[in-house]
Amino acid sequence: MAHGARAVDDPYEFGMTHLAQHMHEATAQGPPRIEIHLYGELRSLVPGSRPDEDTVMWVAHVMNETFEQLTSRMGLTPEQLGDCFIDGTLAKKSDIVPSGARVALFPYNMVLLCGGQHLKGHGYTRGELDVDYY
Amino acid sequence: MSKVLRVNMTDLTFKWEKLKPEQEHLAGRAFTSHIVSTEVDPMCHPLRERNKFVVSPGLLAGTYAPSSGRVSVGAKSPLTSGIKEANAGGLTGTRLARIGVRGLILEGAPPAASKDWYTLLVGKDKCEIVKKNEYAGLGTYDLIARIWKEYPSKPGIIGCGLAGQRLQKAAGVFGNNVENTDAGRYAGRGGLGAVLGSKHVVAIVSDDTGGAVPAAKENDRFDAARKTFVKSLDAHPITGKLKDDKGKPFGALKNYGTNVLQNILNEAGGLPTRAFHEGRFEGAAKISGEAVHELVDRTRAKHGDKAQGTYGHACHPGCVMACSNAVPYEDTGKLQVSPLEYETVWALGTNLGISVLKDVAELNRLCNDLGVDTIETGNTLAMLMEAGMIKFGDGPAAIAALKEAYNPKSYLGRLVCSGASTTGHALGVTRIPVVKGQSLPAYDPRPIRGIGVTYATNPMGADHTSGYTIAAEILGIKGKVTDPRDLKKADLSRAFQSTTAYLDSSGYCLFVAFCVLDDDAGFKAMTDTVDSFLGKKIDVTEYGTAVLKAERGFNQRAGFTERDDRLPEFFRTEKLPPHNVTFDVTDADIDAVFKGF
Repeated sequence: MAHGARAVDDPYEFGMTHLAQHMHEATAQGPPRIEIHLYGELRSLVPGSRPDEDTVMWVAHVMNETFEQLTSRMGLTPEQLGDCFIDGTLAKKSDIVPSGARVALFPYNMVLLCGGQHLKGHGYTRGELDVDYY
Repeated sequence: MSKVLRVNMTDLTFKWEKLKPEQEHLAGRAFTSHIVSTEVDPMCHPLRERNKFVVSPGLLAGTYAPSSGRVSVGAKSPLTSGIKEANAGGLTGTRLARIGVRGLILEGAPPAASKDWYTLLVGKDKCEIVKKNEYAGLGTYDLIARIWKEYPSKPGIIGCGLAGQRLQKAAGVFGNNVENTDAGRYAGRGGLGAVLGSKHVVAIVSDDTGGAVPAAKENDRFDAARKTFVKSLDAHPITGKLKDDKGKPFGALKNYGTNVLQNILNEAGGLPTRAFHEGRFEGAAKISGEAVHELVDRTRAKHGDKAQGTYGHACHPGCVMACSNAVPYEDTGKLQVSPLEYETVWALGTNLGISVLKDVAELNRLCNDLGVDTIETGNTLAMLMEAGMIKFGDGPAAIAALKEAYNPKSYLGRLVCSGASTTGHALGVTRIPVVKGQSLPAYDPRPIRGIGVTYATNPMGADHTSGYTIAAEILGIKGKVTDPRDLKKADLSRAFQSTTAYLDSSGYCLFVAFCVLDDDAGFKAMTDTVDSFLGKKIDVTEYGTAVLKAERGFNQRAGFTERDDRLPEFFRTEKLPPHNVTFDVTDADIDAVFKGF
């Protein structure tokens, strides 16, 4: 296995006690997994990782698991997370993570930069605000 | 009292003018575009005597408002043949503002046969036009060092390098950084360095000795607003302090710079890779903001006090966000280049398939020294790769090609400073990523279509900063723009272009937006600083729209039509992996952005 990579096929390793069943889908290549790319301080989940290399963790896929459940299984809270992606699309808490997905997890202080939209109406990162011009 | 310095380079004279009543609230981009649109013949040749080169500090430059020291330059662009404004940090915005210079207008030009080169020295109530032939032909690192040696008041400097002096279309306007160790504060885009070169001006040196901090009309309100704004910026996880209370990295910009985006855009599948062939780069992590942060820490540990690398570096006096950096050579710890920011790493790294950080930084250093825009030059080198003259990923070959530019007799050297459009056409490339002659920057318009609409329609040619829709699209403002692949982008793009024009005029860095977006108090504080400085309420959208109308009007008189508001064909026909989508916003939707303007 490459430096900066870690495979975890046991979903319970991340404290997934609330999900009673880890529904592995048996395949000829082994149990289906999710490829998780970690950035910033989240790289520490993979011992020996470096910030100038890809830090990848493979975890077992759980059928119908949401993004929120996946990150909870990894021991992460929403406050620790910034912009995250499932197969290149921004991840929402309720999104189901498909088998074989590429998931990218960025910490709270790594988000897309922007400029100008605040002048047109808030509600972009503050979900509790109900003002939106779009 | 602000005033305007008008310099005639035909007869080497100058005069001071009062601001006209209609110019009182104009600064930065609003001022440069006002002058260009009202005083320059849209049909003139951009590199001859009838074009004008305009400099204007942002409205709040020189004040104690945080991160407000940007300076704008403007002219008719030799790259696009339309109107152009570009802005940067550095010292010049602050220096000019503190001696009351709202605008500097360079007009005319020495006779074509003239071999003489000049430097403008601008001080409080004084200007000198000094013949300085010994400055011509120098690399910018040597040039700024010589100027500070001759003028120990630590002046601001903007100017043109070798490429600008040779009237080449990729030439940017350099600026010295706060420490004067690098001329990397570039108003890079649009070939404006060549316009300065056409005036035979190598450098504009600004000395604020005897000057004063500009006073707001409503000083108490201004002071309260700026203090609130500083607090707001400091507390935000993007614009905020370097470390949190536990000593861990906190503010993204201070720690990773704008290049925090490298990994994020890569994961979003919108990172243009190898001349816009792919949306993900396997080498992104090696040249990311995190990699630079780690390199700086490593060289500090290795070289101690001799290490010159840093992050959390301010690009101009009073910038509290400090997204700039200084990248060291690993073996010595000495400065290689400052800054190395996202668009540049993309243009000279990802876009060329180069994942060796040292090579990317060296290409950046060469661009700074030669006086060329990194985005335009990266895309130009990509044309050499697309044509098979250099292999994608070959950093040493790209460096060698760029070094050819030091040889005035080298055809290749001339080509690499001529922009992607000229070079692509010369080499028979059919995938040339330009709009209105200017290269696309670091966001692929196929999976992120709103930015594609901005590239197509904004008056400056392909320019992300003219209406930066990226975060709104990918992260999803509630409602209609939650999907970056959604096709209705006209309202989004127009709104962003208008408000960005306001910011470009205020002197504020575009990145203040991130904080005030999340913080109502910060937002109000930001607009309060502008309103209290002027002593009048400014409507943000009206102000920005007026700027855009002036710019669009100039372009229309220069012969631009809706047909110029289009992306190159290959974006519509070639699918970009991993999302495997094309840019399929209709022409009607694109034209809706400025319908009725």
